Amino acid sequence: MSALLQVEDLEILFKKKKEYVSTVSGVTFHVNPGETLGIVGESGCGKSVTSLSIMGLLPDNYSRISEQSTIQYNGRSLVGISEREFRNIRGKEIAMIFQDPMSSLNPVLTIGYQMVEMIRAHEPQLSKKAAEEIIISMLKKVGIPRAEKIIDEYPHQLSGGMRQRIMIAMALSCNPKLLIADEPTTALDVTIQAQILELIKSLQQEFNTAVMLITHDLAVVAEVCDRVMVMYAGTVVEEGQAADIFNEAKHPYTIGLLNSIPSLEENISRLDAIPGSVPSPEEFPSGCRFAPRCPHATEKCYNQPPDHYQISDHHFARCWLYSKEGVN
Amino acid sequence: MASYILRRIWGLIPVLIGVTILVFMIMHLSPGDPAKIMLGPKATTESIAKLNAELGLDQPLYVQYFTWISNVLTGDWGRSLQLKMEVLPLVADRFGATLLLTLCSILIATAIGIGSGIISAYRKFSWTDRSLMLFVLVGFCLPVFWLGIILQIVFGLKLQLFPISGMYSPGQTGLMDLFLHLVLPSLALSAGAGAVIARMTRSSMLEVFEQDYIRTARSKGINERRVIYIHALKNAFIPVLTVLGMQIGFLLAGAVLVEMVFAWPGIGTLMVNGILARDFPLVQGVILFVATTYVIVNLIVDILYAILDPRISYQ
Ligand SMILES: Nc1ncnc2c1ncn2[C@@H]1O[C@H](COP(=O)(O)OP(=O)(O)O)[C@@H](O)[C@H]1O
Ligand SMILES: [Mg+2]
Repeated sequence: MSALLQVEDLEILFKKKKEYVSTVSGVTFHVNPGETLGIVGESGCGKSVTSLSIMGLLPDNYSRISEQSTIQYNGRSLVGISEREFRNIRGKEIAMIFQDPMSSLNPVLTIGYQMVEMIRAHEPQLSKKAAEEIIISMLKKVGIPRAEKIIDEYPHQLSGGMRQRIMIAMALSCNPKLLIADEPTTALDVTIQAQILELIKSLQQEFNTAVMLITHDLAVVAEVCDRVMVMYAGTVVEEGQAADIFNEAKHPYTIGLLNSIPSLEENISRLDAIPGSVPSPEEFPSGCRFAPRCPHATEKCYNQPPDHYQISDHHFARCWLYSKEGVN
Repeated sequence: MASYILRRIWGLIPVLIGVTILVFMIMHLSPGDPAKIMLGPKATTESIAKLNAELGLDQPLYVQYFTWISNVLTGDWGRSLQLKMEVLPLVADRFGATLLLTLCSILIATAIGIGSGIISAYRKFSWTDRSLMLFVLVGFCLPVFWLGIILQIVFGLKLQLFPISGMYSPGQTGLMDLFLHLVLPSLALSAGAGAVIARMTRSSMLEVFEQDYIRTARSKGINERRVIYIHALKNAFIPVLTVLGMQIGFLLAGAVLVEMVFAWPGIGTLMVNGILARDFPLVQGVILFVATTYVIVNLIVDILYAILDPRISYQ
């Protein structure tokens, strides 16, 4: 099976005080048609930036992707293509939903306008009426009552959960093959979170859409993902089948994340699980980026960055512990 | 919406009453005796008293006010002491010229201001942005009458492109002639407002460009023009509209100066002459007219607000 999205050796740089600082580097992963890839990591690890680079939505005046990076969608390169070519990909092939549904919809345009506009951008021959019929049926699919009325309403008239449903309906309205969901539930109430995840899962099966689900919460990933990629400080530290990650996590960072999922029996406070915080790109350590927070770190970890080491067929970890020569 | 507008109009009544009281007080409490001025330096005390009685100026102020206001409401705005003509038709006639000048200036200021604000914001910190904003700063700082005179010298006298005074050339009434006469005064008048609108548009657009919904709009694959002119501008225009409403007040004030410089036959010239001659009824009439216009313009701005921003409730 050939991958729908293939990202190799992605490096993203941001301009900080006149010079470009590498923020994400050596990121390699793929998404197969119809599958769900979870991308996990604390905030500031480069998850959003990675997804925006796929959409070509990084700010072009102060960020860039380095030359050796490749991003291939359906065998086509997305690096360095024109705005015009990208517009045909965005929304139609790859759609995206964002963290904060309160601010992601335009406050002065009606829901209907915003949805119709997107469909007609990709299918100009469609009449407004036909586009409206499509969006009404989409809105019904995402569980919005009185969809015919909602299209004349403005975002501020709806709750956060409703708006995220609308974002999902909009994102899926052109039948994209890949949906990037960047922390789609983070800004919502706990009770709503589960409903939204459930919705994404069921729609994905119905439309056979591949999903990149980005989150800082491993518990979210456990419910819906086929495969999981763990990011730390701009690199991928571990990747594997969801079961590998949950049952046999290898990287100390992943283990730390797993331990910090609050469980009902033990009450581990989240802050205790991994001491310290994610470094900013200017102060990435030269060896393993996780070394300063790692309980197993040795001198080697501080000096040399580890490579990806294979644990099993589809399971990799970027940690000296799993190299042939070991940590010492 | 309709009931909102009705309520807003109803709410104007106390404002307008306040305006009439202010207008009345300003003229009557300022020093200078109109009868004395009308009769000249050789007037006797008796003749002054006689004229004052004729004009009703010997009555207590509140009586004068009520007489005046009831006349105003019936369309009798008094007679100009100096020009010996009915005030209302005089002011209404001259007001047309001022309105034309002001409207033209608003159009120029809005078009140039919003246009350059958008370009500046889109190319922020580029040379285009820097030069536009420098230009805007200069436009903002120039005094209206000075700019008017410079325009007259450069485009009127040196380049001979446009006429420098009046509304029509002698003996002409054509639209083209009117247009040519309109160019320099409306440019002079629009500079300040255009500059303020440009700065406001730029900062407002910059703020909007950072919003999540702009990223959403781009992620949908719609073209960049739509992102800028519909998604961004529609939001960014709301604060610009407030500034625009305020600028209209300044424009009406600036019109007085521009009219003097360009001998434009509007109410500005009328008012200045009226003030110099202590022509109470005339000045009252002009101020009342301008103040009412200002109040109505602000009402229109408020209504536009409600139309543009769905988050404002009319309840
Ligand atoms: N607009 C930006 N300008 C400069 N640096 C940025 C910008 N956006 C993100 N970054 C850098 O990228 C890093 C990763 O950010 P992000 O992808 O948003 O993290 P995550 O989504 O994993 O929380 C941040 O720590 C920051 O240094
Ligand atoms: Mg993020």
